[in-house]
Amino acid sequence: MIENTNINVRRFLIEFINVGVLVDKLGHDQKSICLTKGLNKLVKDEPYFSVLVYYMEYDKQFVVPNFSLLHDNEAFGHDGPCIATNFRSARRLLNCVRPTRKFYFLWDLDWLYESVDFEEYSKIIMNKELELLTRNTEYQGIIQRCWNKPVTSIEDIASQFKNLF
Amino acid sequence: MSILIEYTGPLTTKLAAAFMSVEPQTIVWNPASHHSIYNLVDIHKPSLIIARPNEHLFRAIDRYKDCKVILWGLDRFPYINEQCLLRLCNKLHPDIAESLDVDYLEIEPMANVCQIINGKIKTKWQTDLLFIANCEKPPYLNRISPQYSLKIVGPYKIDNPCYLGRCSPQTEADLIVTSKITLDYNKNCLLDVAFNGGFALTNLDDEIYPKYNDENLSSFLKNKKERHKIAKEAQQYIRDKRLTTLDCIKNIFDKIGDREYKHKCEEVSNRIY
Repeated sequence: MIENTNINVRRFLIEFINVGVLVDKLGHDQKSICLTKGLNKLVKDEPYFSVLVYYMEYDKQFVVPNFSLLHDNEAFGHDGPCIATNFRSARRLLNCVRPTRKFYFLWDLDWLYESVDFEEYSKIIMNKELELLTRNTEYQGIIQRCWNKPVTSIEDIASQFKNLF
Repeated sequence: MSILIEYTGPLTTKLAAAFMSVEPQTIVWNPASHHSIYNLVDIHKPSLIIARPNEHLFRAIDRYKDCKVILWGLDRFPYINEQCLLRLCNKLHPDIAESLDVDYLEIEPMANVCQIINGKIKTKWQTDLLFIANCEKPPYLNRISPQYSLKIVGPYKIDNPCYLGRCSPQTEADLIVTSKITLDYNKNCLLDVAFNGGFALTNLDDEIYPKYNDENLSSFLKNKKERHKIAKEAQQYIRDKRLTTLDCIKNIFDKIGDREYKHKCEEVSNRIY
């Protein structure tokens, strides 16, 4: 009886897809709201998705998240695909050893807003470990032209994330 | 001998690099962020100062009679004395040149051979067009950016999604060599491209590179042989004419009668090209 339970628990754990998302903070900005709504919908529609958001700085959420929130330090041991949402989190993600796949979701054309040198940015964005995602086809074209790297356009987080992993 | 140079813009960086190649004790002084020149002269006691004329400068050199001064620009100043040996300026009308109080040297566009040199092809940075944003933006840039693969780098931030940030001189050299065409505007990088053996299109009527227009752009992008031929000719031209920062500072030392440093400049330039 106990053995059967263990097998069931193990199967239950294996079938879950742990998706990690690295953010600076989940606050009142447009990015956080869209991300929270999208991930909430994903968790609701796809029960085998377990979403963990790793924040660097805690903030009051505008939309109540229906997923786990953990401090950024925990991302180091995240087992499963992991998504960075800006330049700083992408740099942190590259230092994490456990994630099975690493993504960099370019919500904005980050290089226009960050005071980062071209060399430093190219080291991150052109890194072979990182797969690039963006939120519309216009950005997709610009990123592909600028950085010579394939980019996937994710216009709806809830419906398109499940196909990604 | 130590040299003190006042920062006045990108030209200073080029010249300072060249001065550093012959004299490691070269200090670049930025009036916006550092102490006054009076304190700096007191601390470092430079033998040669290259600065814009101002009261602090003349008060500072008044106490060090061995110190020589080269002035940036043509600003008149009542205290100019025998310590001021030379003025560095752009192309001058002969009438103005005659009325100058001290000797002058016209600074022409030059290749930055002490920093932007030995570019290596980096396939990951491959691009059709490159623009190095130093000071001005060409009017056609926004129009062509969606059509071609374009990279814009440099210290002058441009409102274009292809602007990818600042880069080091070595990266600039690598990008020049890697890109198919470098777009030049008012000779902001033309001679650097020529020295590194790259291909450029310029907005000026120039004898080494073709003029920019949409037809030229699309035809040269397809014609690799022609690009290579023009690039080789341009490289040879720049080496023959000696339009480089090292040759510029050699002329400066020649004008102020410093034979030792003139000879050092020749040694360094022979080593580089």
